[in-house]
Amino acid sequence: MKFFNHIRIEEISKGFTLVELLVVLGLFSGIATLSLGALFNAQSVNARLQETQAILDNINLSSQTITRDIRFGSDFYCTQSLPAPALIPTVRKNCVFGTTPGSVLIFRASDAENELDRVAYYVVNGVLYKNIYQYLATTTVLQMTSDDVNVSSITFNVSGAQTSTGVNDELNAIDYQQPLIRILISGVTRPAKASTPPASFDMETSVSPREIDNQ
Amino acid sequence: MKIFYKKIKGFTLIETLASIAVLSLVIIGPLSVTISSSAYARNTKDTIVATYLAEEAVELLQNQYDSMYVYCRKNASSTEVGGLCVPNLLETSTSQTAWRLFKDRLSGLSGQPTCYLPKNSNGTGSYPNNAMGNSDGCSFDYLHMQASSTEVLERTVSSSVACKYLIPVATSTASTASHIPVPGTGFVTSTSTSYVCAGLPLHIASGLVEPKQYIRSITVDQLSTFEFTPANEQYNDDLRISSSVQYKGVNGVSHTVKIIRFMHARP
Repeated sequence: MKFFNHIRIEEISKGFTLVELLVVLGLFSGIATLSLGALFNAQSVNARLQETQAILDNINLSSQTITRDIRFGSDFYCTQSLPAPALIPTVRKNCVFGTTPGSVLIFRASDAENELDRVAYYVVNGVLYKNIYQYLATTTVLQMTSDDVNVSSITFNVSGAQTSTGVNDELNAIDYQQPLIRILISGVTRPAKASTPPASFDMETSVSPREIDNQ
Repeated sequence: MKIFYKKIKGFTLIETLASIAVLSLVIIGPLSVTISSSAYARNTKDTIVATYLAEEAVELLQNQYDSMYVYCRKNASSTEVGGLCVPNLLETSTSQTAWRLFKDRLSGLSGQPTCYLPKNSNGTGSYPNNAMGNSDGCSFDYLHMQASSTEVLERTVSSSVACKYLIPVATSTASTASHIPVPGTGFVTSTSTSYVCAGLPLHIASGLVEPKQYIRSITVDQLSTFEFTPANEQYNDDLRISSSVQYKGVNGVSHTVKIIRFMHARP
């Protein structure tokens, strides 16, 4: 105790000088402005990214479903408008290249319980639907893409759907070809903010069904 | 009396600068991740388009063989003009006849054109109602191996200035000897077609539209069978289809999607 009595501890606290403070504040505010801008930008990039990802996922997934269904399907009917459930055709119809392409594809799926069961793929108001028509029974409507993407169009070209005898064809026309269905799907994102430009996505593929065309 | 001085210092300018640098690194890091992931997303988009195009080529080839089979099932007798589907001595089924005809056309052997559907009965035009076919009856050629004027017209109508559909603009075909030892005649046929997005080549030439090219190359190799009777050599072989689609990514880097499928004669 005695020892400390004759020791004085003097604290000299040195703060910033005004100039230092000004420099630091200036630097900081400069960087803050830049990084804030970058952050906002990153946010909009992220939003756009999510929108693009949504449309990619939706179109990729539904294309996979469509191509698989077509690959194992048969009795293709290509048309420009969706008929009423009672009028779903069970015959075949081409829409070959060079003619008006179809926007509705109706065919018999491989898992059909009845020979006359049909499924239809079509787009209404930016949404892709699959309808399952059970013969003389209920119709099931399945939404294939989510509401946050806009499938602007689906286009089909069908050739070789006819038989070699003309039986079961709407026009009794014939061909000697295995069916070939070309699909074009276009979609755009629905941006949450009006300032974000919509991103578009177009894909094209063709499918040749595995089952040999009968007759 | 002894006096001790204890200095409590503030930050120096250097320390502040260093801390700001660290702070900016922390901000820039995630930012660059976001930006690079946006490039990845765009690349994913191109990859999906390219994959479907590559798959399409395989489907078109399968369709050619199946169409030949459908045709021969209908015309497997000698009553058909030219006797195209008359089976030879080794063939025990129509599917084998169709398999031979399909491969002949693929390889361009014995003066056959590299297309697969037969002409119609008077020797002109495509066979009735093979409406996709061009004047040689080449369904495959017409669609994706040649810049057919009809094809371009059809798509010009439906394509806007905005990047929409894929249009074949140029074609090259090459046949070389197989690098895989094949008993009998081996072949490798490769055909590549350039596709551009946005319709008219004119639009691209005039700089109105930036060309987005998908270059598709299809190579068909005949793989020899491991069984050695002549019949097996001809009908038990596999065709290996390599379909690759090349495209340029966001920063001009070239990417290729390649898929390989095998084809076999139907039973």
